[in-house]
Amino acid sequence: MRALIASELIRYRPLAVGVALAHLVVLRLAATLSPLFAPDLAKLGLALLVYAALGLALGLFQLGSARRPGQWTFLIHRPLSPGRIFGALTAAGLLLLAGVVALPLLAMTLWFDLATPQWVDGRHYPLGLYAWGIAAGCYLLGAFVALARSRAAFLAGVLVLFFLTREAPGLSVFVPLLLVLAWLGLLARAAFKPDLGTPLSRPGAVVASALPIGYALFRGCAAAVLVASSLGTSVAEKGIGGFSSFAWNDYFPAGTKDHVDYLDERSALEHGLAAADADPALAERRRHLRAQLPLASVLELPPRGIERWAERHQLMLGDGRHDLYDDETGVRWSFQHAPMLFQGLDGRTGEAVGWLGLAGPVPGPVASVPAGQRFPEVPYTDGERLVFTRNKIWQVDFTRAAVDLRFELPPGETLRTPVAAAETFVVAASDRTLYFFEPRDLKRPGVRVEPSVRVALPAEARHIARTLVAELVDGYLVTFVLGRQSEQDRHRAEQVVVEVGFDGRHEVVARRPLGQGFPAWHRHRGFWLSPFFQTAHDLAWTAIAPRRDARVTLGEMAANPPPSGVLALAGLVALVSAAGTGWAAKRRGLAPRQRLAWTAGALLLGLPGLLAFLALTAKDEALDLPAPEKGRRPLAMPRLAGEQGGRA
Amino acid sequence: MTLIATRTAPSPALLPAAGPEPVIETIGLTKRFGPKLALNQLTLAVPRGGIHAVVGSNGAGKSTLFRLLLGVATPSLGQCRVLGVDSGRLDPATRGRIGLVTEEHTLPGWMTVARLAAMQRSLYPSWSEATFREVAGHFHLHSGQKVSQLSRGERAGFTVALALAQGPELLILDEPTLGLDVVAKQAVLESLLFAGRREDRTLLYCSHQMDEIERLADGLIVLERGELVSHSTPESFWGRIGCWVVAGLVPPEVVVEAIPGLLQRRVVDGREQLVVLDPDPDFGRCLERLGVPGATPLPIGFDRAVNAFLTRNHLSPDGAVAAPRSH
Repeated sequence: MRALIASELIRYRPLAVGVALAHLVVLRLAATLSPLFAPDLAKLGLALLVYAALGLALGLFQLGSARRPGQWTFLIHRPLSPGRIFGALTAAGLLLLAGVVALPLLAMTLWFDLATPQWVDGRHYPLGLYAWGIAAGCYLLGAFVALARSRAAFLAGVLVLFFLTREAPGLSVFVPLLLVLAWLGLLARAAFKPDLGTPLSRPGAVVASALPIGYALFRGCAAAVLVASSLGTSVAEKGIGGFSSFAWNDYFPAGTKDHVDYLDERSALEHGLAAADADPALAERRRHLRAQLPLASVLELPPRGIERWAERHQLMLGDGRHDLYDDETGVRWSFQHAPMLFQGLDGRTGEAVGWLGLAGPVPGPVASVPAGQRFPEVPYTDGERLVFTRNKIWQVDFTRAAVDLRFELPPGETLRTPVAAAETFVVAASDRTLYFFEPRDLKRPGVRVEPSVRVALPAEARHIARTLVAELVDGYLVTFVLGRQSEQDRHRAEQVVVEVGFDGRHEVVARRPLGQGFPAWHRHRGFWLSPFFQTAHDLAWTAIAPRRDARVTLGEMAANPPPSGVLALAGLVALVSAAGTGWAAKRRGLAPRQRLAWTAGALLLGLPGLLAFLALTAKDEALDLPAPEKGRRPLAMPRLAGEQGGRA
Repeated sequence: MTLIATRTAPSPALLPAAGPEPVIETIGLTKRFGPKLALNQLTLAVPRGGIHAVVGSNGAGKSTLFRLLLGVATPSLGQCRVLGVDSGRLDPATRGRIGLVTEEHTLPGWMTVARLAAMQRSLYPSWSEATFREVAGHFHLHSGQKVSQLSRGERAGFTVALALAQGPELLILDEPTLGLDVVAKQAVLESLLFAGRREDRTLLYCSHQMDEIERLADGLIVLERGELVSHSTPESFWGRIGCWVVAGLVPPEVVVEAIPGLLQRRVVDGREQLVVLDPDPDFGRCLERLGVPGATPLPIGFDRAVNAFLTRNHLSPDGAVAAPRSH
């Protein structure tokens, strides 16, 4: 086995050395252009994609070249079990990837740690391992695709998408990575069998391949229904060719959430005020407010704000900024998790200029910064002046060499939108309250500001789809569009309009229930296609993204089942899929037990189950004899009478 | 020699009741690839020892048979046992007892001769360094040479050397001399004859070179369109095919289908030769009755005899060669 590993290493050695050196050069160049250990999400994503592509290419090429008929027989026909041969090939492949991906990253990390003033956190070291894990997963996917009998094997790549969820905090990101590696390894091993022409036969391997492939088909079917439904609607409304100019906000009737989603800021506010109300005084008041809107400045808060906060020692996989840039001195301050301080590096010379803590910049070594000046948790920045944690906002004043606490939320509240500024007002939002600030207060350096107005959110922050603020003559007008998860009827959709006075008094002036623009079969397309996959998807999303605000809780899922019509449709689709699978399984000559298993599987998985069956099995196992040849008849074959080997 | 070959339904009664277990045993072996029936109800037993040649035209099922024997293809129906083990469940130890030489001489081109030999040595407990050196010596291989730099002949020799050095009980050779020049071919054949022939070793040899088969083979297995049509000694097969030369050409009014066992017609120097299977002792009179006077027997070589047999279905009623039939 070791000899086989060595053989594979020898085969790819020149290429691996070249790629590893190129990787090192690229990393070094990248480090001169931007901080290597504080990349933005786009650069990090691009790097991870390159590693994934490397792994995929190696898996496809290595196992793809091995499966050529002559090569395959030479490889498989030796006194080693297929498992050990597979182990040797993959061990070689994973070692090569370690040398090409992880080793240069580790070398660069070590070089920065030991030979430059750049601070290197402990969390930077496992990044090479994580990148290798991504490459290894794609390598195993490539191996599975190269070996598998079905072209649908590439759909198992949906498992790799778990790598990119970036939802798991800290080092626990390795848990889903290891699970996915084990799963893909199992698939590739199952496909590595002497006769590559036969389908997977072991029940465990069939289930392990059918589930991800079925899930990918489920997502594909749901997307197809969405596209077909959208196209059908637009064609029905404007005819063929009208899709490109089709305006959805004209299609959805007023009073639906889809209609509000497509409206511009001012129109969305007007929509909320157009709610019907029997109270003539309130109606008059709304007319008065609507009259002011054309002249008001309107601000829309970022729709989601900060949904996840970085954890200390997590990999560099967060989706926010953790650095500041002083454009006067050219110093970049990058946050480091171990000391919980920003380290300053001169952008021109690369020299370390000190540390930035709660009391401002401190030149000298990290040990010289007192513990009390360190940040209590990993902060985000706006890239220039603002630093914020879950409940505090600081402003860095490089001129005064100070870090000023400007605002602190009450205990228990968490910041969602640190600062959003219009021309004449500034707002910040927590998970409970909307805060208004006077811009002139913010301009006074070093002063802790107090909000001029506080408005309680009308619902949990995770339900809020849009927040719009308009400044009127005597206050503000705020509208909240509720129902982020309302498409699947798990929350009520509603538009709430609040009138806010400059004195802080506020009152709900309109509540407009919102309907849904699309019919139930369109909105619940995932469920009726496959109740199993839709529920599993929702549960996994809730489990993997425990802190994502958009999650659906188990209670909400249980309390709000789909409408009865959708349930009936799901049952019908499952029955038809099971019947189709049973029929196709019989046509394909499967054994009765296999037919029963696949039929039951399709009943459980719905339409994706049928599609997965069609993708993973083939017709050519059926033993129907070919029809007699038409045309010229050859001469009769002479009988080898008297010969033991003769024809009977 | 034990000869068992039939295309009828397998019957245990047809198998040898006593004697050593056959090295290869197939019962009703059938393999299809989609619509193509590559092997059809093949029942065959190859005894231990000797060199058994497998012949047949392209598409006869030879390579499919080898793939089934090596377990890299699964039978659609029937059984296949090699060295007493179901070929679909060949364990590493049994695989170690089976050598293989393919027509492509597939070897890892990135390795050197010495390193590849060392790798194979580490895998096979019964490795014979002496055999390896002896056979490799015929091809003047240098240990530091990369496999990719070897000529086709050298690579063929290296493959044979590796296969023989493993000390296999069964050595499967799939057209090992294909594309080799005379010298390389001779060296490969010498190796097989002198280093490869052992009492307890069985060679299953596939080739289109009838001179090689005539020289090497102890047994002859003839496959045609996936079916076994003969399993005998080369001599007995050869002995059943005769050639007759007529005074001129067969008159056009003669119905050639009526000539019993006719395999091939050929005109040489203005005289037509008829190759016939199992000719009657009075074949000359038979021809006379059909209107072909003056036919006399002519000696026929082994290669022509086999080729005439294999190409008999290409004979159209007017004597022209027709396109081969396929499934």
